[in-house]
Amino acid sequence: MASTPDKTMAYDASQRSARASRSHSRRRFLTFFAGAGAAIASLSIWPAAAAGLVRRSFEPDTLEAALQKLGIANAQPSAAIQMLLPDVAEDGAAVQMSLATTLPARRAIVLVRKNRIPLVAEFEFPAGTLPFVATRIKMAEDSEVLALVEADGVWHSARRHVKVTLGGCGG
Amino acid sequence: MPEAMRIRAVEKDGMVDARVQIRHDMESGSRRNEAGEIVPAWYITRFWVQVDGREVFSAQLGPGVSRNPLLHFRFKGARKGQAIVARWEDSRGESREDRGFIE
Repeated sequence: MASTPDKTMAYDASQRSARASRSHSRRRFLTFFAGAGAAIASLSIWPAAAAGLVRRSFEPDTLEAALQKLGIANAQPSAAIQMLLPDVAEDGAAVQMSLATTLPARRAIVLVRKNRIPLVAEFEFPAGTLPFVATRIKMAEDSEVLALVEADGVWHSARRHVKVTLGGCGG
Repeated sequence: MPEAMRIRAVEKDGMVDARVQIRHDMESGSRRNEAGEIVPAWYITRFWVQVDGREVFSAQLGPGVSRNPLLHFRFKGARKGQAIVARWEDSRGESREDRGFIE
């Protein structure tokens, strides 16, 4: 009986994985076994990746309250953080943003002051990964965008102001 | 069923330049539909990328990330032909995992 829960879990996971990986029913038989392999790998590998993770909550807040919840009170303004953002964003639903630093940063956080939910995302850069990320963010209106990076246990910050022509229902 | 991610990772001089496009509406919870009703929040919360069981990038995303999120990042220590696996989970507990290969 001891092995039953494991078997059930592997079965459920492989079903999920199989469903997720392909939709063609004629491949279902093969997919099941391919999926089973992927599921076993997932069960053993992915939880380890989440170890030590501080779960962030994305809630309506002021920027100051959001920073307080993040536990970042006194980030040091730094010229070693490069933020690439347009001066004027035509569509607030998708504002291209990139962030890079010469600091030995292992994580970065992006916030938009005027969004209903200021916290946009937190990125982690494991050893071997450059402290760089680019993505698209939502901006409800003209706002300051704040980037925070943690290097050697110290938070550093940079800010950019972006004008938004058409607000993007900003998170 | 969630759509597959598009994964493109290109190695050059020991550096892999990776872009992952996720298919997800990333509903913020403040948008209204045609009937004027609030569309409930529904967004990706976690995103991980691994090469050979080694984590190379991860993120916690909120509804302030645009619809169909595109994540662009760079890492060392991988070579052409290696599998790159991306996985996400959303605020409803749905998840998806896709695989690509480093070019």
